Amino acid sequence: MSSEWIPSLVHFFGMMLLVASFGIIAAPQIMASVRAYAVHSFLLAVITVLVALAGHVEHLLISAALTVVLKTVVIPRVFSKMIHRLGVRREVESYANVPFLLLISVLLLFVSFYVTSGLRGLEPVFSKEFVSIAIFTVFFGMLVMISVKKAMTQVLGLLLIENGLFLLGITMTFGMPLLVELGISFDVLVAVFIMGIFMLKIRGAFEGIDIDDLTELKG
Amino acid sequence: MTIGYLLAIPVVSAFCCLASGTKAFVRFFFVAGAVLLAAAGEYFVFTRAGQGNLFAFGGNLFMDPLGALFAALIVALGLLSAVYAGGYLFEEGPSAIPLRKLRRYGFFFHLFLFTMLLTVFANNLGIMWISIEGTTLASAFLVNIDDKKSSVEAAWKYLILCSVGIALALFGIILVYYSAALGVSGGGNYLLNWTFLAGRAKELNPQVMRLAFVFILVGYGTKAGLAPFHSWLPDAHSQAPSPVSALLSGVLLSCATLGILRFHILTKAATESPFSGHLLIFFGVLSVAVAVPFILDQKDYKRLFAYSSVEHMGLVAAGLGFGGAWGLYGALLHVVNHAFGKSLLFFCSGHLLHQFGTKEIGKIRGILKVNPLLGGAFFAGIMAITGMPPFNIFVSKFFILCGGFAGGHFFACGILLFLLVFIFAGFLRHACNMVFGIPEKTVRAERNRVMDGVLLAGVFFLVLLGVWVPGPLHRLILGAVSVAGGTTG
Amino acid sequence: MTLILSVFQAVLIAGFAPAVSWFIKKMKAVSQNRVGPRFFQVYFDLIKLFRKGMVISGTASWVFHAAPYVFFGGTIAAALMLPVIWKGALCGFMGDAILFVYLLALGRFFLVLAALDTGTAFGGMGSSREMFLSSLAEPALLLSFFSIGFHTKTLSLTGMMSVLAADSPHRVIFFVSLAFGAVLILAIAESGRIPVDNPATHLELTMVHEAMVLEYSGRYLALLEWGHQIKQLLFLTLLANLFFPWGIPDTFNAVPIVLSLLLYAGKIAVAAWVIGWIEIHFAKLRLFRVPDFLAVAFVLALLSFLGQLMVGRGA
Repeated sequence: MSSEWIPSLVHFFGMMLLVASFGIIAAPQIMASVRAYAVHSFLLAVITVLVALAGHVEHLLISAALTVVLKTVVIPRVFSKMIHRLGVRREVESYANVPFLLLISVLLLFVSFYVTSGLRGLEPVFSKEFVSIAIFTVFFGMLVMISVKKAMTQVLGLLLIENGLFLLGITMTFGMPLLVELGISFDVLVAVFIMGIFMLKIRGAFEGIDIDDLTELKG
Repeated sequence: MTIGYLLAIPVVSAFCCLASGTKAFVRFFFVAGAVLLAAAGEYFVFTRAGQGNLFAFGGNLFMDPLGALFAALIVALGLLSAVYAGGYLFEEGPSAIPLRKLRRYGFFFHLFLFTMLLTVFANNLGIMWISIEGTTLASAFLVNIDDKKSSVEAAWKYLILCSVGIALALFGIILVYYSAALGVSGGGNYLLNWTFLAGRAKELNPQVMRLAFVFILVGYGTKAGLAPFHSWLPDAHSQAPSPVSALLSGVLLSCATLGILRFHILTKAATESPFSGHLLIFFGVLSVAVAVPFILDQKDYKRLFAYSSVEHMGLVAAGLGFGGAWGLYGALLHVVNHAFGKSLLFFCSGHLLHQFGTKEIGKIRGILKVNPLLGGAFFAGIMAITGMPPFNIFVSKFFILCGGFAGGHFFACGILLFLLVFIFAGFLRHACNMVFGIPEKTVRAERNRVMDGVLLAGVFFLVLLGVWVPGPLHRLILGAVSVAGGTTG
Repeated sequence: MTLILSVFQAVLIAGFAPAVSWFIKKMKAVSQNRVGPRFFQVYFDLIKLFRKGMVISGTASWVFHAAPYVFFGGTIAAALMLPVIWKGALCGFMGDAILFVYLLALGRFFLVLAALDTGTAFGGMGSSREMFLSSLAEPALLLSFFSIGFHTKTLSLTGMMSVLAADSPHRVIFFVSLAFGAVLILAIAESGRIPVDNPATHLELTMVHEAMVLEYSGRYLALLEWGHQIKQLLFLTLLANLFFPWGIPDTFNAVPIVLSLLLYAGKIAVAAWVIGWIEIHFAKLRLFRVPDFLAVAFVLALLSFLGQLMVGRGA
């Protein structure tokens, strides 16, 4: 693969990552959000492979494979099983309407670009745009968590934050040591399982996983 | 006895509890596991304390005086909590708890102890992160062990908020790793090891470290209950059963504070500026300030104790920020003292719930008349937690404030003193309303020797530590202070 | 020679447009296990409509009569500005991208008025829905043009194409290429395809464009249908020639022109295949969910434009 293709591919996948993020928040149904997350993770794995090839870092290939298996296959399947078992309404309600949220995410993107352009000491090993995209993904994950009314989407937002941090790791330092990456992935998987169990409990206690109901404890 | 063996004890106990066939077996593994852990842990810590750092698992785990202090605290409180829980969990009769739930309780309890020990023994910053996330996951089930509606909500909030916070801390760790990879020569596999980084802290990029510290403070500060990231704390600590609340308040918050402290040491050495100290002082004072109105006007006594934890963690953060010999010694001693004081209060709250059947302050009166031991212990605990002599928290608070004045932070100390007065007033009002007076209704009067014994032991420790810090503990804390002050080993 | 080529381009678009419609219909039919229409069937349908007589409501005014001509004329005029197989266009000039958008808007405007003109309920409903959707679609299209124009420093479609063709084939420009996603979504929206609008339905709940042309028959209907197909091909041509502009010559030699014609046919086939695939595999969105879909296009276009402004021209 000639080196002149790499920047273009990098740009291409960066943009696809943005589009996938928009897809998560603009999706009308929860399963579509989960699929958009699977696409997002897959693109992340592809970018990891690109970084691995460009920097000749082999252990990133293992991380990429792990991402594909875990975040593109296993976790979306856990989610779809959960959706079946919970039997919740498929429609996703937000606190604000989708075009407004999309505009806010554009604003977040510009904020993250502005923030990373101001940091002078940062010399990432891979292209600088990805640091901004990674920070944007972290912000975006938080936006998803606060704007959608389902408990499941909160978990999705958390996973997005984790995706953004993974992207940050591989573009700033060619990834953390493999042991740490494995541990973090394991943690994420266990967290998803546990949150799934808790969603079942929420459904049992509150009839539905609408976050609006979780407001009893105050003061 | 190595670190590995010590960590293996709770794991084995956890799985034994899970696999037990009868309540008797669960009870045995539950309590015996905690006793064994405490004995082994205290022996290990106090025999190896003065002998330099001890490494394990290829340098990924280690024990220095700081870690040793926290480990000793964890195992001691684990013992108290397990003994107290063992007193009432395994009763037969109308309110008997099903075997399934007991197995889960034992399993997650010991797993929780394991993850906390892993946190304090972690040298690799990534392993530390994973284990702190692990404590969240393990304790979420413990918070929700009674499967009530409010505890589900509390557990969910706890899971989500702490996971977001810890994800932000991961951001900070990535930045630290970046600055290490950039500036520090050599290393390779050791780039994430705290001992390695602490030795080479001068080579870390100060600006990146500053940014990293902010994220770590926000992230681990969420877990430590610093304001304004504390909103999960009152819910989780009040909905959990009392022995679990004691562990959560006493020990888990301290483990997160240890995480912050480790990075504070790195940042202070790397930036050679009081930046991280000032941030810690700011968030510490803010935590105390945020806790004040919620303590003054509080209806649920467990939430009262939870907000008091926020306040005390704020004090610890302020003490760490003040720095210097006084501040650090005071902060670390405060961690120990607060752990014992708060756990005593939560154990009392367990008794209160059992005897009066309500969680509201307004509905409880005249504890002293109903159960003199409980009333005395409860009042002593409240006096202790607000910092009255001759109890232990007075000593550590005093040291922290000395450290503040010695460091020249007059304004911060002034605000702290002002706020502490209000907290004292609030607590005193609640305590007097609850302890004295005429009880309203006749209440059940079953006494449990074991649980009462735990209360007495708690009061004893409070008084003991208030007048004298035992030699070995003192040496341990001094060793920890020297680590925290920047001289390793 | 330029004149001949330019006129030929327009004729090509007008003639090719029904074929693209046929391609998508055939794709759908095959996916549903039917045989589908023959290739010439679409042309025969148009010719049949031209030959038929018209039934016109008594309450119709001049708008009703003028609308098909304005619509068709506007679309053809817009086609005259687009470089198809050759680097020039008959009416290309500086800033013709804006005129392109507004010629199409003019046609739509008259169609909307004409649908209201007869006073039927379906017409009014179609008009309001069409305006609702176009209020998000037009700004997105304009923003996409502006973003590409900002990058290429020209606002004429031929100019944009020339500058973009000079770049090497694999250059993906960070923010500008986001406009591709926007124009793709807009192509679906403007040609009235699923998931925005179903071209094969006459149910009140689901039709938008069909509701507006419900009152038309005969020659007028033929003009409207043909104009609609041309509009669809215009957007596909935009996708093909603006974002994959290589292989289009600016000389008059026969061989490169023929090659570019074949290449163009191939690109349009691929684009039509994509549109058909989306039409087969997705369901039509609820009307109040369509703005969410168009908002994604708007946001992509906004990003591609503002991104260049704020972050600097994409590397």
